[in-house]
Amino acid sequence: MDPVSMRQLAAGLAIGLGAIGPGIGIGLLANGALQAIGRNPEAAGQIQVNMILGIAFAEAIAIYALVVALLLKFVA
Amino acid sequence: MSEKGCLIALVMLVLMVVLCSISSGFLGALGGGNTGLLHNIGLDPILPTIKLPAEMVVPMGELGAFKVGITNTMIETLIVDVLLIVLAATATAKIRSGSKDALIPRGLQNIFEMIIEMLHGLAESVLGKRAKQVLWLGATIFLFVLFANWLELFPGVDSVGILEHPKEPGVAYSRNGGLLSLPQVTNEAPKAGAAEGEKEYNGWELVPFVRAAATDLNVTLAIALISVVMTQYYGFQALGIQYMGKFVATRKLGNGNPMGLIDLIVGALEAISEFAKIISFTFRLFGNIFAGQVLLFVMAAFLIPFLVFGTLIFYGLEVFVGLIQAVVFMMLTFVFIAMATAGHGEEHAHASRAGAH
Repeated sequence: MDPVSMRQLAAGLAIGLGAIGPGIGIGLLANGALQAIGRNPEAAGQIQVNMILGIAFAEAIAIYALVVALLLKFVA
Repeated sequence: MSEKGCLIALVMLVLMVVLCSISSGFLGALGGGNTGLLHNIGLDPILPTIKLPAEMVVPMGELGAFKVGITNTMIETLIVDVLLIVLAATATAKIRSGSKDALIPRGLQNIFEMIIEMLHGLAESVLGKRAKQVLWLGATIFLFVLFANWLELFPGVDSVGILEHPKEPGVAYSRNGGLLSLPQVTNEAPKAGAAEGEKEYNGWELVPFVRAAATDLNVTLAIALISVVMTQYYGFQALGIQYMGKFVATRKLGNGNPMGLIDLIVGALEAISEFAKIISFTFRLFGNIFAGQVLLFVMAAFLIPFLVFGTLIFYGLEVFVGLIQAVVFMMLTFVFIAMATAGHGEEHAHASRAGAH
């Protein structure tokens, strides 16, 4: 395969495979947060704030994968 | 009586769905490609050129190896700065003039007092007593990132600019007076004439005057550097020279204790993680907003001929993402400052205070 088509394929694979982990991670985070809110509805505000924080960390990994895909497509 | 309200809401919902589908079919005929009615007015759905680096709107020459000029993201940061300063001046006018009216806030002062109070609540939940000292940093980052992200959604941003020939081979568009129009032009070879330096290709592309600030790595890197450097500053201010104890394990190594060696490695990891924070701050904001911009471009270019109101859904997503990224940047700044100013002895106090909330 020539480099140009490899580049397009690599861009697609980068974001496609790179979003699997963070997707599962964010699902687990939301699962934990929802269970915690179910046990203790009064603490929902605090739990929500910490959940958003945790989701931001997990999503950052997906963003790294997206940046690699963008680099492959538009810069190299 | 609530059943009548529910019935009215249901009828309105069904009516909206029916209207949307009728209008999308109708407007699909309007907008479709070369034969639609929108094409006869001159408006075609164009996919803007997606470029990673920001484009120079006012080139001002070269300085060694660097090109100097005003980029379109720089223009957006200037607009956001002016907007924030004007809003701040208006909202605090009564407070600064010392009139008694300021005690009962109205209008803009009321809105901003609400916002600052919410941010103060968030800061207190993370930082405790230090919230008042650090709130200025988080609130500034929040307001700047929020306004910069939301300004991207205004009409005119990313769509009004200079038409010029593309500098790289690819797909460009033809020109119809002041607008780009549909017959696409694929470029492989540069135009004859400009042999060295800047090659120009056939067709036209748009260089916008204003582009979302966070799509420029320089802007996000700048905010990330400020956040992390201020974290170190607050760490030194709170703990003195003991703050370096996080990176350089001084206590245990002298005894020949093998645990001391592990502390050294942990210290090095902490130092590396400070740099990782800079990178992660930068790319989190950049990736979200740049991907959102690309998403809006693609959806507007390909969805409008078929479903005009479909792009509104993605606008809503971008509003949400802009808000969340501003909140996350601010919250992470607060959390890192809280961790930096905690030190070793206070960790238990922190845990007990957080548990008591």
